[in-house]
Amino acid sequence: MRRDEFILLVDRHGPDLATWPEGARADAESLLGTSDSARRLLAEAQAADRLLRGNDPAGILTDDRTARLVARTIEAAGDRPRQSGIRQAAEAWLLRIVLPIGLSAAAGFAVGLLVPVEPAGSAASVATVLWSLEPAAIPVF
Amino acid sequence: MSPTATDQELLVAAGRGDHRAFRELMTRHVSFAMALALRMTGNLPDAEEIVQEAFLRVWNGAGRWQPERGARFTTWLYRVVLNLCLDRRRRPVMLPVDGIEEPADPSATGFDSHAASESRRLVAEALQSLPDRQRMALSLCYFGGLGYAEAAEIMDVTPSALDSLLVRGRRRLREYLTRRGLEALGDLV
Repeated sequence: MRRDEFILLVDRHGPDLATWPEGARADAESLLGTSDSARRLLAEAQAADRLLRGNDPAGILTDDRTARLVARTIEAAGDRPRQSGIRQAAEAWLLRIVLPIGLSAAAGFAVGLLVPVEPAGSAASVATVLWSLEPAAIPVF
Repeated sequence: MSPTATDQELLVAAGRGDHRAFRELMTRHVSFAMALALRMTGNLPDAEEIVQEAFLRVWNGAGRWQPERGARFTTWLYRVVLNLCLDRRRRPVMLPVDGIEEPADPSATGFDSHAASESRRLVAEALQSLPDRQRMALSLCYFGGLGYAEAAEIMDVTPSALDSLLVRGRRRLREYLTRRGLEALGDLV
């Protein structure tokens, strides 16, 4: 096992070789028997792991503090005007159906304003005009 | 509402305005949400604000919450918490890690207390030095103990991408802590 492979396994499986896949563990033990730098790296990883697990930032949380947060939030929920189910459904309907249709209509209107109008009597359709434009001249929405 | 009700049942009840169901839902999940926010922000007041806002969104959105196929309530909740944490980090001013209030430990001597405080500060700094997504992955899996599948779903990445974030995150933490004189501190703790 090369040193870079060993480092990758340490960072993937952690510094406890007992949790490593069996084949990798045997190779790692061979490397550790011959390499000072591998032993040093494993010791550093073990120390870092101990420090991290013993000092999870969440370790400062207390039941009292959490209970106060729950109480505050329940109170705030009572104060905050709550939308009715009907209003929520109406909003969802607006967002999913009315808004896309409105945007499409607005886009169509904008295209209508930007595309040159053919003189009366011309046989060219709007589609013909659009396709005849250079790509760079077509507005992007 | 029975304490054995599922999250889904509690959500439906909360959606009808049932405060007790909402309280039960929050009581069930607030600790993990707080831990997650605290690891992400390194700051207790910010973490509390974020978790409060996340649960108020639950309250407001409970009536229209529709689980994706097989999605859990917690997946959505933790995703909201993480997004709020990222929004908070984009603000220009961050309170220092010193602002974290620590519970008094009556058994600790002054020296022990100082060493513990320094260790905690070092770990908080190390976490804050990570890129956001590596810190998220470690907060969920390494500290939070979530499985790869759930954490990957929360972060909206593939399990292999999550694995890569975890490997790189652990490596950066190890290197950071080693560089900061881990061995000397290890003697203290």
